[in-house]
Amino acid sequence: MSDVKSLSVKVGSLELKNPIIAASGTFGYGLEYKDYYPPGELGAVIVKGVSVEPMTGNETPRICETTAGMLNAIGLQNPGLEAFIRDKVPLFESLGAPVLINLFGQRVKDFPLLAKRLSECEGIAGFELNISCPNVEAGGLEFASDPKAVRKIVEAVCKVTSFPVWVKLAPYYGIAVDVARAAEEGGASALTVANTYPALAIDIERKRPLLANITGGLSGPAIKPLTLYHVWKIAERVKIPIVASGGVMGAEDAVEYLMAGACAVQIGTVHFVNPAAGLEIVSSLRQWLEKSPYSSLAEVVGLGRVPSNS
Amino acid sequence: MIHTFPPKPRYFPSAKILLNEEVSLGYSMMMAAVPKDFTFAPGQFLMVRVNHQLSPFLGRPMAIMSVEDGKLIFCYRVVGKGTGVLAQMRKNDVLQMWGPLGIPFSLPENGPVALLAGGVGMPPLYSAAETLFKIRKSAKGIYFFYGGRTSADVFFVDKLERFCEKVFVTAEDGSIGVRGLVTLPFSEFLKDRQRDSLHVAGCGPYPMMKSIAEICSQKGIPCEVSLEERMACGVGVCLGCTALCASSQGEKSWIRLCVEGPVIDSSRVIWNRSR
Ligand SMILES: Cc1cc2nc3c(=O)[nH]c(=O)nc-3n(C[C@H](O)[C@H](O)[C@H](O)COP(=O)(O)OP(=O)(O)OC[C@H]3O[C@@H](n4cnc5c(N)ncnc54)[C@H](O)[C@@H]3O)c2cc1C
Ligand SMILES: Cc1cc2nc3c(=O)[nH]c(=O)nc-3n(C[C@H](O)[C@H](O)[C@H](O)COP(=O)(O)O)c2cc1C
Ligand code: FES
Repeated sequence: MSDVKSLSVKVGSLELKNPIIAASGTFGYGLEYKDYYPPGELGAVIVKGVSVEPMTGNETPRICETTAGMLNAIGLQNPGLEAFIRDKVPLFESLGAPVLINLFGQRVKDFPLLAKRLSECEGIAGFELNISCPNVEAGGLEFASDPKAVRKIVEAVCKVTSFPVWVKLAPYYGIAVDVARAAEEGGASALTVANTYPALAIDIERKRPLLANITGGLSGPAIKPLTLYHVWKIAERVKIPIVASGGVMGAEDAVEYLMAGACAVQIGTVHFVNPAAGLEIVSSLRQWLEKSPYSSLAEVVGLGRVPSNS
Repeated sequence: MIHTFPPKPRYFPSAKILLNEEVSLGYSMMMAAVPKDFTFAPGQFLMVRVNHQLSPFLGRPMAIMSVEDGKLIFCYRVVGKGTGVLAQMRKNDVLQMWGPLGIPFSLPENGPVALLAGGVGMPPLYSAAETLFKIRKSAKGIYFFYGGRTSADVFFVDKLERFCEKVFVTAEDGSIGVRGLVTLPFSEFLKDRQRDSLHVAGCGPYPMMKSIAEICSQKGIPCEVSLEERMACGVGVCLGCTALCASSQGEKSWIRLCVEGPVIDSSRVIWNRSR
């Protein structure tokens, strides 16, 4: 009898018992799926994004279905920093999995403000910076397409916290690699690749966009090959670990991301098509590893890489 | 109040279909196998995925109409892709479902109750009527107001009559019952009775919910409505299904209809003019 192989992985200094992480905005504050399985089965949980002030979010419809995916335009609804600390943070210790806080702001200085205040709280394992939001100081230009601003944000956050800082990139062709490098230079411990894709759907009966916000972010299995491309391209150019996020539906998708160079994988939209997805993906990943010739998942990372031709 | 503590939701990866048949033009009834200990409270719903494929992608919210001896029933109207695929499913096919979800109606142990249903808003109120009847062991004081555009939108009236003192039926085209909207017999009903203890519950199209809320608020009658919004998760994480509401202090906030609803005290709803 051989020992059961371990699924554990390391993302920088953070050790996770398995590489499956609940993605921000798809797992609430960690306890919403507790009737389906204990959240402690996951490698980590990233909670819904928090901003300094409360945000009410967009009008409805905020979501719609597309082929093999969905659009969302929630508008970053959240209770704001103080209510988050009062009502949500005390729950985190009971999750049984490390909790990372997804942070977003409209000004560079919002990010260190959030990180500093939250670093004083118990029960937090790290931060993920969501830079897919407009920078009001730069006329609404998204941070995610501005490497200089991203570097500033990451430097400012790293100065005020000793927790790991992950930067969640937008999947923008042409600029994502530059932003990734800026985040690395700023001191990020890892990169999450990537957020949703700007997209649109039209109701042909009513002759208007399906979402009240007109456009939304595309997620789900439809985006997996696109995000895999970004993981591949970015892994080539940075040294810090990559955490993949985009369209994972099963363990094989996770393995695909690991082989492209990611060392952990987030699961998002799949929760909505199967409330027990986290549990099922972890257990089929375990079966996959058992049957494989590899003794750990670390051996799988980057296995699929061949020299790029460009 | 009848204290029905909503049971914990469960996931049924492959609930076997026992029956799926048209019950009226454009409406079908689905019966699926669930464990014998499955329970729910009237007003609660399920998320139903019609197959394990990627299309249709998201689950569809469906109110539970009844559960007996491991047989769960919901009724649906075919309006689009998801319900269209649902209608093609056969006996022994499987459904992916999770539930029961959401806040149920609060049903009073005694006193008159008016249940107002518009079209496919009937199923959750059917379960309310059935539950009230079983607990009270009497149909007395259970009034059902059931409206549709035509006679096809109004079905199972004979079944409802077993649980209710009276079922008032309306159709906008006059093809069955009274011609007009369901608020017509309801307003008449309110005229000639003492309404101190009346309890009202409604489920149906948005304009109907809005007008029964107005009628009840004018007369100071407590009223609960079940509201709809597009849903993805059904468990409160995606924030897709929100509705603007006022707290008891009058503060405005978004509530998630899948967990803080779908049933909500109508005086809390901030009605949208454009819907
Ligand atoms: C809590 C709750 C309980 C429900 N219970 C029932 C039920 O018991 N029986 C039943 O037939 N329906 C019920 N519905 C509505 C049902 O979920 C929708 O009709 C269904 O999702 C439509 O799916 P589709 O793919 O067929 O339509 P789509 O192709 O998605 O859309 C077709 C049309 O239906 C409308 N529509 C889509 N989703 C909704 C929605 N959630 N609410 C209202 N209109 C919608 C669209 O605007 C569009 O015009 C309920 C909804 C909620 C929120
Ligand atoms: C409803 C919804 C809400 C989301 N909210 C956030 C958020 O608050 N912050 C964030 O960084 N990403 C958010 N995301 C993006 C997801 O975390 C994830 O990166 C993306 O959906 C791609 O992964 P998936 O295809 O596995 O869902 C959200 C996605 C969805 C579908
Ligand atoms: S459907 Fe996701 S929050 Fe209600």
